[in-house]
Amino acid sequence: MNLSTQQLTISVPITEANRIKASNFAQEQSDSEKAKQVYHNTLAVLVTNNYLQMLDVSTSLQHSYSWNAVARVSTDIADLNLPLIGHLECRPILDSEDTCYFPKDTWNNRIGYVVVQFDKSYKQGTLLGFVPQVSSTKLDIKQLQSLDDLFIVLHSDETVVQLSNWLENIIDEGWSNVESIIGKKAINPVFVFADIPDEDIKSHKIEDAVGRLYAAQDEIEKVDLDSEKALIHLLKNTLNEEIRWKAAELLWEINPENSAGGIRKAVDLGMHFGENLIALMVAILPKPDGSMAILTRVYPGYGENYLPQGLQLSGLDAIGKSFFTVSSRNKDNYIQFKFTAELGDKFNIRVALNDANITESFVL
Amino acid sequence: MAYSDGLNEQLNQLATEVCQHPPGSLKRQRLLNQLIYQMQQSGKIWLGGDIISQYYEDALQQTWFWFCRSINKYDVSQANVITWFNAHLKFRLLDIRQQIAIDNKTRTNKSENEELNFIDPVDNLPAPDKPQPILEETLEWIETQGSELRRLHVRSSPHINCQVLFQNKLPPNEKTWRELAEKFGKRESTLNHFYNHKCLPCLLAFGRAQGYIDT
Repeated sequence: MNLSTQQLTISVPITEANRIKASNFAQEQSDSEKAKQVYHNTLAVLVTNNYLQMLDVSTSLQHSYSWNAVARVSTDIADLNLPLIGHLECRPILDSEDTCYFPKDTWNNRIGYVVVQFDKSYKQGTLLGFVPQVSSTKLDIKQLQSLDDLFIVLHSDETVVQLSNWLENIIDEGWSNVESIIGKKAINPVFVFADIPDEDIKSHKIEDAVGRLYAAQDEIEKVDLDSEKALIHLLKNTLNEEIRWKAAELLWEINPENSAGGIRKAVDLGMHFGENLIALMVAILPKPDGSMAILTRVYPGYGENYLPQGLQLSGLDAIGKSFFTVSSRNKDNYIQFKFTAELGDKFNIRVALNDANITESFVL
Repeated sequence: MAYSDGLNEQLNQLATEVCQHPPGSLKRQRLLNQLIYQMQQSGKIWLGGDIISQYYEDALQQTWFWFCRSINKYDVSQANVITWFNAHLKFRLLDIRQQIAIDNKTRTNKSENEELNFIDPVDNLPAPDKPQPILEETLEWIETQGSELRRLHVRSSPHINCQVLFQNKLPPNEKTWRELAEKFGKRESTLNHFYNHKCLPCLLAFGRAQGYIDT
């Protein structure tokens, strides 16, 4: 090992159970070269997992790409998911090596990279250091930053809402189901079917609304008679963002539990705006091309019908540049903005009224 | 030895400082990193005695977990922090040995080779000569879902789509990004960015849908 004696390195024992896990994953592979790679990757993830648990950082092997067998057979990845933070890549190197390999499969969607060096008998892994990003496939271990820098990165992201986790049903603190924050009535005055007592009338009204939505576009033909199925077909296939969200909203009304309608959660911002009850809703909807449709909407809080006039909703990109602003007029039930983002994108949503404002940060 | 006393004092002092910060705080993590590093560099962590036990790593890992969790209970007036650590490590190893002895009584004789011969785990990984079921299923999915996967393509290049990239990036026919860049006349970074953002999420979703997530 060519590191200077000053460099902070931490050794972590590799247990029998760790080696068995790595062997099991290796045995799923199609040739011995690939098996070796998976063995090393798995041990690097397990070593990092043990280390981070020692330092009180939560980790989730189940939500790591490297714990997905299809990802293991088809890519060279060794990530560890840190819930609410992101994916940390754990690159393995051998006792004799002094450069580390960063395959291009791992260049995106990572919060950083640690390098783990094994001893000859695979009984100990040593964390050599950290880099926040990579731009070449090889890095001399002398160029690694201190492991301490990993923790600075972990703490800097403390308040970022990780939207991709919502799809796995990991919901950030403070965010709840929309109904509990806003109340049923206020959600969408356009379609409120829940209060119609007669089931026949209700299903007719729903059918009408679905029919009107199909009629409002000429891209997709209505084939399903069942309203729920017809909506899912439309929202999965349309290229029109307006239609997609209208279909999603109708689906929320008919069956809020259906996952095809994406995920929507709200946070109460009341404490930031004095007397005014204000809530921010964010909904995400996976699009057919793999990107994510995002709807941000500001509602009046529980029991209120209208937003205060002059309330602003803005989107800021990762470096703080504004990419939209909308303002409430007299008697608006809500204000909203829709856009599309890709995995790993970062953005901020700011809600402002007079002198008060609050910014929430998100990563997809 | 004066050097040793100084080192012990330094480690004890660090351990006391760690306790002054709440678990999970940046300050505590940095101090704990320093403490673990210096303990490991001191060469004073017990190595398991004359007979190297195959369970030493288990005992050591359990001890590190216990140490980081329980450090607030450390009392500098009772022992040096290394002594405190080593005492726990010895007991853990004894515990594990006793547990194994109990387990072995209830089990039939174990092959002696397993105990005595060191086997390099990597050299002994099996080398199957035909594709494993997971890869086979994935390759089949790439073919059967062709129309869906072809819909995701590099902007204005429908022939560079997820299906084609999967066919070129998955075993047994994987090619390098450079080869693919030449083949398709696109920059490596364009292809790679598209693959990571559009194609990999499809693979992961397929794996989840198939229930191929380990617990």
